[in-house]
Amino acid sequence: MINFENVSMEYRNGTAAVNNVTLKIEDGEFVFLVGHSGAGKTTLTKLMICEERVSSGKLEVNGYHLEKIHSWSIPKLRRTMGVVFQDFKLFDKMTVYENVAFAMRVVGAKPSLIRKRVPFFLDVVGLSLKADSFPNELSGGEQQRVAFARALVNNPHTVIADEPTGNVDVDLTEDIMELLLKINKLGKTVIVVTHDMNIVNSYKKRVVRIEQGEIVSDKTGGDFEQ
Amino acid sequence: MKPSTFFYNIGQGFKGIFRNSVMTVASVLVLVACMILVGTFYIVIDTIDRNFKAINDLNVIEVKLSKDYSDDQVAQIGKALEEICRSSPIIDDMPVFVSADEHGERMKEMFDDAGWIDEIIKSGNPLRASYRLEFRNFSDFDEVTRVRNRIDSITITDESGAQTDGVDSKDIKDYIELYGTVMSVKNTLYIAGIWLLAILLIISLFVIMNTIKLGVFARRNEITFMRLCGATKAMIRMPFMVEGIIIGIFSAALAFGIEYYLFKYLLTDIVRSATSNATGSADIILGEFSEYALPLGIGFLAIGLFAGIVSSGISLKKYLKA
Ligand SMILES: Nc1ncnc2c1ncn2[C@@H]1O[C@H](COP(=O)(O)OP(=O)(O)OP(=O)(O)O)[C@@H](O)[C@H]1O
Ligand SMILES: [Mg+2]
Repeated sequence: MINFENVSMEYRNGTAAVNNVTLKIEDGEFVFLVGHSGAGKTTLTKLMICEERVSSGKLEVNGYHLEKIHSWSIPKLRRTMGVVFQDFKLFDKMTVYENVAFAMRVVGAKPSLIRKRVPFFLDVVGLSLKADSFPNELSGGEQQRVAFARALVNNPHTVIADEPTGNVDVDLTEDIMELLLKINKLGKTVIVVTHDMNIVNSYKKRVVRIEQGEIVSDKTGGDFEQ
Repeated sequence: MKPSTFFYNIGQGFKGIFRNSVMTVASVLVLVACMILVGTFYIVIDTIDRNFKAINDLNVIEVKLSKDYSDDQVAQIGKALEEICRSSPIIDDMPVFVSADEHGERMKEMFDDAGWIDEIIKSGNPLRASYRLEFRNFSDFDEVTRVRNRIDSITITDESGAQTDGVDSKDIKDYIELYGTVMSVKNTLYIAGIWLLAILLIISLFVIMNTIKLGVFARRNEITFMRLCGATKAMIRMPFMVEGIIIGIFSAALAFGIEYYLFKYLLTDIVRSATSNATGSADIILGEFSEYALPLGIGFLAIGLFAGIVSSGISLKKYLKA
């Protein structure tokens, strides 16, 4: 469960990116987080993985109280979250397989488990045949899917995708959305950050809109203006 | 940490070594220079100590007694010397009285029982009785001088009951000047060694730090990703620590080898050529390398590990915020 209670956050340079946000996301939910560029969407996801700390208010994520979390608990919190970053940071000197395996290695997974799980998740995202390719040999959409496999491979409780359809065409967008729904069906909480209203409108899911750091609407289904 | 993770990190550390080989070589070289310098100072200082210990009577003060003194006056001087021995921290034993006859015996021993010495002694022993004081080797030079001055200012009461000077300055036989010279050479070397160690260690730290920082910079994206994946600080730090430790251990091994050759060939040669010119009695005593192997090995490893661990720790600090 993710629970924001009157959370505000200010960057060190004084930018108030999140203002008094109250938002509750239950386990197993599928939520769109929408808003204009600079609205504070990425900042909200950063708060959830404790990359940034809340300035005031309370924030609970998967049982951790982030307003008072100890630095040594932060790695444990992050292992419950699988994030596909907006700039998805694949490593160009590692193959697709190694990119995914790296996410497991750094949390100390056993090699036997890595050998089992990586091919499985490459299969889930439909990239089994590209395991030995390097990122620069892949299309934008394929790279995006590698990032998904990497976010999923540690079996996180919650998956956050920041602009997963940012630079892919309509067909691929559908593929990726199908993938996200599949992940959600596996029982994981899924949060999709986007400003593409067409996607939002074609899936009747909960939509949270944020503007200038404040939540301005929170409803399920319906038609949304761009 | 699981064995597999441990070995993975060791592997990553080795990769780091080769990522920037020029800087790695530079790190090893400064570190080796630092170690060899420290090692050589250690051996030289120890050699001085050895030879110092071997020089007989360097730590002895002999107080010659005037033949005019009565037994009572001799006893008075003995009392005064005992008091000095008791109050000085560098003297453990009481003064020893050596009679004129005993001095004669020693003299005979020294000249292989030459008959003429016997003759001289029998016709009225010209040698004087004395008190021997022994201070601890390597004592503070100032304290040694203080003891000597106190001996010089001993007073006794003569027959008329008046206080007079008990010990004439020229009746105090010692090697205090030589002692002071040796001590000051040793102290100078010691201080110079410590300073050089400190300076070179700091330079080594900087060079290794820069080597590792280059690696950290090249991998900053990976480090960020690792953090956001939930990698612990230890996990992030490990490959760089391993890199530092490898540099440290490798440098220690190299320095040890070089030190061995320096000792075996250079130092031994220098000593041999120095002593062959001098008279036979001035031989310089040199230890065996095997005696130095353990302290040198431990010292080098300690320097290497210290430099490696500290510098990798510092290099990563900036990237390890939660
Ligand atoms: N590291 C930072 N330091 C200071 N200000 C920042 C930082 N990152 C973001 N901001 C500011 O915080 C506000 C919210 O940014 P955020 O990245 O959360 O927006 P966003 O909704 O994700 O936008 P986009 O859709 O363009 O990704 C913006 O005004 C941005 O300029
Ligand atoms: Mg964003």
